[in-house]
Amino acid sequence: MHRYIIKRLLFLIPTVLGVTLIIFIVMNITPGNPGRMILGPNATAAEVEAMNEELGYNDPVLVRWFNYLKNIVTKGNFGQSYSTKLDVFDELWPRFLITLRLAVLVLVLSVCIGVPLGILSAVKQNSLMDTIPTMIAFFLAAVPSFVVGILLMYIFALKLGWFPSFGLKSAKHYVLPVIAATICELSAYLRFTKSSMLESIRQDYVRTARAKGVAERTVIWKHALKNALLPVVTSIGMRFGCLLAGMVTTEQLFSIPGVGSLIVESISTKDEPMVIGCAVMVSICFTLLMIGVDVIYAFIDPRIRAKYSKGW
Amino acid sequence: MKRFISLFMSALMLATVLAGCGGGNQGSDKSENSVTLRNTAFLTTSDPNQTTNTHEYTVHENIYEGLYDLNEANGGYDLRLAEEIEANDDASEYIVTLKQGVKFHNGETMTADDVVFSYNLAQNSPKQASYVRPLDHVEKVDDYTVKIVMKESFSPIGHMLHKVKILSQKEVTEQGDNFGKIANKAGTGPYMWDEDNYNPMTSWSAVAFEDYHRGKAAIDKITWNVIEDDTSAITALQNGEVDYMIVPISYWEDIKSSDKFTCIEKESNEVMTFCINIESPTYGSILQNDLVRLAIMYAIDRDGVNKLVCDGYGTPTYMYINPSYAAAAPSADSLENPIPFNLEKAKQLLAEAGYPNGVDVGEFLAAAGRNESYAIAIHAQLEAAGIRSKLVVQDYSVAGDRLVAQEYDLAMAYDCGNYDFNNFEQQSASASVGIKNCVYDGPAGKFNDLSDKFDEWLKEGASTADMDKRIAIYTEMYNAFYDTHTLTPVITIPSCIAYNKGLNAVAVPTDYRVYDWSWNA
Repeated sequence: MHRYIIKRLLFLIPTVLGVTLIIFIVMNITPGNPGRMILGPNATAAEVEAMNEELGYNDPVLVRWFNYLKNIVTKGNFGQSYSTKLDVFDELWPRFLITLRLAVLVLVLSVCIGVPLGILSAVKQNSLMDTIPTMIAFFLAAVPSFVVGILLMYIFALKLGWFPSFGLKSAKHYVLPVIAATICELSAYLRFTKSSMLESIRQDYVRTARAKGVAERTVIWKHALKNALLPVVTSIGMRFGCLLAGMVTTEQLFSIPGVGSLIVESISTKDEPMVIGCAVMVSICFTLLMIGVDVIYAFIDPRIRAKYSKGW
Repeated sequence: MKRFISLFMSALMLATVLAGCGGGNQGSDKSENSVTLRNTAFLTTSDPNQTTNTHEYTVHENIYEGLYDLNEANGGYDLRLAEEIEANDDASEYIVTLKQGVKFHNGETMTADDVVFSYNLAQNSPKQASYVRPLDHVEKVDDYTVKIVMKESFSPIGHMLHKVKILSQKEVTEQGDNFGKIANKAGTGPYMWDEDNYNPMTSWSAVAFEDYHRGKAAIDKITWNVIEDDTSAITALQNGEVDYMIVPISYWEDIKSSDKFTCIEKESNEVMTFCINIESPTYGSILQNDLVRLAIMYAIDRDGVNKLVCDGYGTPTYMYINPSYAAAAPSADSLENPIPFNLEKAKQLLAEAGYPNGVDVGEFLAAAGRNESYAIAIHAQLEAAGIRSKLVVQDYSVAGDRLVAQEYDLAMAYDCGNYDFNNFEQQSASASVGIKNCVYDGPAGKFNDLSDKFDEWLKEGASTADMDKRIAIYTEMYNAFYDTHTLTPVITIPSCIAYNKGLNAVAVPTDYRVYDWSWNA
């Protein structure tokens, strides 16, 4: 197991190398001029050129990529933001924590609501208990999160005045953005859990358990659910990783300074060090999450645990 | 038991996360005598020399001061840190007597050394280049007198004196490389950064400066919140979370009809301008054709743009700089050959130019957002006349860069002329640096003689302090410039401002001064 985790952690290195290289190439292709961005529209062409030279922006993309990695390895330096002149990590980290906090809340809520509804829907298939949640899930999945957000803002912030409409200063501020993001997420968990559970319920071992006279409750919770949860756990890991970088709409709408909105702002201002910093951070988190998912697998499924203990 | 533990763990997890969500309050607290304002983007710096962003100027204007202060409400400038300014005969040198007893936020007293230091800082900042370009140097005469020496005669000095903020040498030096990255006490303004609430990414405050040289402000505290999204900002305004806001035009009717706010509509100092690049390497030869450009001028329907984009609240204009906000600007009726909208005439001119079936004129460049809406409207109007272009909308950073590099055929741009018609040198002087929408001394040679004449007019206008003479010079130049049919003003953007009915605010298009505000008793 330990060897497996170390092996997966080592896999982080090529992942980060690949991600940074791709971002460097993409940023190199897109138009823009960091020197002009830093110095402003009043700077002369010579000043802009000198700044680009100083930044190494005129070097070939592979040289810049290599220098960037060298700075990370030798100095632990992710560079300075072109727009704020602050260290990328210092600026990125607090925003990452904000997104992480939001994502955890959204995840907990959507799993706590979506997974039980999915189970219920599968167990009571073709009944009202199935039809109603499924229809709601389809409806919610079809409504973009910004529409949900605007609607929530209109009702609960503007009309009722229960919650503030922007920022994250207190627990009250979290309510609307978390609900907006959760509504879209939970429908995914509901549908995913339902299909996984239905597949599990139709397996031979479930039929055998029922034939042996095992109580239905035990059949569902002990036999079917355990196996159905495996793909759900994978889905939780994947979706959580996506949430870390993908809450842009919610962040923009509720003026939340998270990592998603930072990525968008940085791309639009061609703040290359910041874009790369964000991408590295998200890719590291995503990889770590996947390792976490694999470890959870071992706890849920004894077959996998046995496989791990034999060594990989 | 297992179920209980899992439920308990889930509840604990949620509680932990929520507990980490911090504390705070929403909106302004009138009992604390404060105002809450929207800022459209985060602060990139607290250093007034390191920005060209309007959303940062508006904040800095309440914290830092120059020798002059721009009076956007009534026009012109007020003496601020200067007690008196006296020019020599040819306006190449100015003797400035400083106000005595002015304190910086760090408690130090302002002296001539701080003024010299601050002007040196500004001269070393590329972002201040356009304001200090005519400046040679500033020297200390005595503790409360400095001499400003220009490179040549230059009378429209007001904006430079306003834009260069006087900073505490001690504070800037002590903060070193951190200056601009953190809150500082280097200003002399009525408000000082609140070091306990300086989060430039989200929200920051400034508190009234007790020792302010004009007396402590009536409002104790300003809090700015970053609200990028307009819908969210409007909700915050209606919810009472924001006290004063420039309202996007599309929401203006709703805000006015709610009857919850004091609503002010006024012309802004920003003019939307349509540009034709006669030096374009691709379509330059077509765009150099006088008849084609004249046809384009006739195809632009300013009233149509106003209705479509500004809901009728804008002001169709032929003025490059709104004379309400700028000294020495030609008056609205001084243009001799304004070209009105006439679609048939446009088509006829195009046919005379040899393009009876219309003409392709390349790319029509616009920055995403506000410029884009105007570009879409004009693009459609040109198409109706047979003048075809490909609309290209890019992020501001990219589109601005392309304008500077002259990489466009047609473009939509805006200019903010807030002080003196001399500001127009940015668009017309051959030596101008940065965003210059059209080049007149380029290799095509189309307007090279005129370009020399523009330089002469600008020099002449800047060398005299006689306002009538200056207006006459600039009016002549304005007419000649307009007649090139390269850069044409379209709309003066409306400024729609709404604020809490309990607030006595002074509504201005850009640089509000909270010092002039108060809450009703």
